[in-house]
Amino acid sequence: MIRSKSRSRDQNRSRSHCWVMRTITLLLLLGVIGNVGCSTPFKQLHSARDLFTHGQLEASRAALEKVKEKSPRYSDPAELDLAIIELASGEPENAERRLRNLRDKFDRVPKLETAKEIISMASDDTALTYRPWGYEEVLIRSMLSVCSLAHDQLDAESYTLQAMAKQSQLASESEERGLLKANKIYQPIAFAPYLRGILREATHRNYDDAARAYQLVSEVEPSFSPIGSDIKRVSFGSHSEPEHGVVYVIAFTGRGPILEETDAPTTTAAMQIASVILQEMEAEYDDEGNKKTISLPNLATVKVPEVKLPPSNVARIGVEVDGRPVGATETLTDIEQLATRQLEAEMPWTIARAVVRRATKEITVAKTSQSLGLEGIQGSLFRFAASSIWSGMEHADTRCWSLLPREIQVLRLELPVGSHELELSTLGWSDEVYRTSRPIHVNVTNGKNHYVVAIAPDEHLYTIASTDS
Amino acid sequence: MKFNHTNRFLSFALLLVASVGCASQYGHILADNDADLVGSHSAGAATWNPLVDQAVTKLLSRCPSPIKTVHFTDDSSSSHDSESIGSALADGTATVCFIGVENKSAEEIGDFKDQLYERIDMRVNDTEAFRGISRRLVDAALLETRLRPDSLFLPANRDLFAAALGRQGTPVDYLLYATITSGTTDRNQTSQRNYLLTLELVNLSSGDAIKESAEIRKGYSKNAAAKWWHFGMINGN
Repeated sequence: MIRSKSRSRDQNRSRSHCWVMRTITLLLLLGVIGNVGCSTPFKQLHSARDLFTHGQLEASRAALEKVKEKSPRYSDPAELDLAIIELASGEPENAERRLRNLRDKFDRVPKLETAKEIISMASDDTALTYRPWGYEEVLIRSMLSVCSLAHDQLDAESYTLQAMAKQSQLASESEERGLLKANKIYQPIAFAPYLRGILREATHRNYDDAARAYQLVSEVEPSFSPIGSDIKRVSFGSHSEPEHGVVYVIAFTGRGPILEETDAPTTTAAMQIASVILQEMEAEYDDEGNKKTISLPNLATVKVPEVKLPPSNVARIGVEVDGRPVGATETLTDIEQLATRQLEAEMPWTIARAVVRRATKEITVAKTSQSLGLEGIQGSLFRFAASSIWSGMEHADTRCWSLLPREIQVLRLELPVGSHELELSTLGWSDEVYRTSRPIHVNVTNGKNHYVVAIAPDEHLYTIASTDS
Repeated sequence: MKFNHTNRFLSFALLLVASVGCASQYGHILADNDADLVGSHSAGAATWNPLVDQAVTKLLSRCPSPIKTVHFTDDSSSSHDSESIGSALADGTATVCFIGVENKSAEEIGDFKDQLYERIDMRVNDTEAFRGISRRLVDAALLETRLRPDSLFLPANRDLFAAALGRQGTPVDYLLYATITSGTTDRNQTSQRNYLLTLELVNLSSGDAIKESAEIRKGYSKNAAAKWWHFGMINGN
């Protein structure tokens, strides 16, 4: 009798052991499949960026279209990149349409998506709907304005107003969220008020608006040296000399910041936030009605995104008018700085979310192990394998607008009325010329603005002139 | 109290329904008698629209009517006032060149500026005494002369500008300027801002000017309690 009981216990144990091993194998398999599935859009996005940098627009477009169709989680950032491809291809109207749709789509995303938040706790942050970063939202509106300037100029001013309104909204939201040094982190982007300034100045009537906008630019980007003369001109002078017009060369130089996955140490601030979230999420009570305290897992690092700047040789764009060098573009907005600052501001929350996610997973695994009656070495093995594999499947959310430039630069040229030939060149850090564009013919009109957009991710240069030019 | 699984599921479901509801945005057409929205951080339609209406009405009420009526009554103070202004204004229908709205307030008025221009322009044009000059002609004259709107106060510049308009076949009798200014009083986290819209009508031939303004005061508070504390419970909208 005793022997048969012991045999039955052995059989049960062996059955349970088989089940655990099968579960672990299944989890491993899932982990491998999950990782393979996730690596595909990264590779395609990476290849699309490289193709764009080396002047292969159509191949880059095809790669991005593929990501857009096949990876729903990455379709929105791929579409943002497609808008840049369209602008570089001389299709500003298509880029404008695409960006407008994306702007509306992002505006419609609710601040709290409970279902996706729950899914993200079981997987990772890529399960959440893609939301552009604050500075990207402002840049969407600014790029809309650039597209409009390069196309029909109909809505350019409205877009600049939207960009500035978005900046104010982000600043007040960051204050409400209690981000440390909110005003310093969410600095206004100089590009948006600058565009507003040049458009208001071109009315020959609203110099007061232009002066305000330029004043804001000088506060945000004091190193942009032409702003002093801009302020002086709109405060005391006029748009341009009689029988002159203005050509603005708006240059997107360098390869913009991208996000890559890294392991970040868990900071005290992040652990505090995680602890508060976890206590609220997993609140449990003992028999006497007292809240049970939940200890956070002892984590040294978690996966988070970090800003990386792909190498690029181009420093600025040199401009020649009618065969005579007239100057080079100057930096108005440093996008790398914006991305780094934004990431730093968000980091405690990003780490906290990762910690909470890990804790949730560990609690779930422990409870599952408990309910399966796994104890001792089997239970430990199951918990270790399950939580390691589950956590190993996590990826940091590295989705971003990766075809943005490193810097936005501008050059203002006041030219006599008539036809002029502009030649743009990519210049290196020691002003060495890499590549020169084909001549761009600009027909300067009295008292009007004309726009030439140059996109130079590296030595290769794309140029688009406004249609009235 | 133990927070059981059913309760937890229900609260998640409720949050889900709430978040789905939040995803939509709605718009509706306001009826004529609906009140304008009062801006929470800056002046809005509820501030600018009455300011324009008041200022334009005040300015026009000081201008002589193009049709002269005969009164058999003794002198009154109002008729005397109108007479003195009449000396600064030409009789009959006069052409007015509305130069623009200058914003000297502490706020960026954004897309309201062009709407204020159009609103003032339309109100002035609606009267029998004045005939407005097209904004496009004014823009063309500013572009041709490269004069700044604020430089037109100088007689020499005014003549240059009037000559440019005249060359375009549009003789001009008056220049109209609109200026927005503000004054802010802060008290802890509550503030009061006074918005003043000033209209200035300048007779080009004599250089005489009349000025009218309208003011709206607005209070800004962090919450309703602060508003009640500083401005009282029943004050304002």
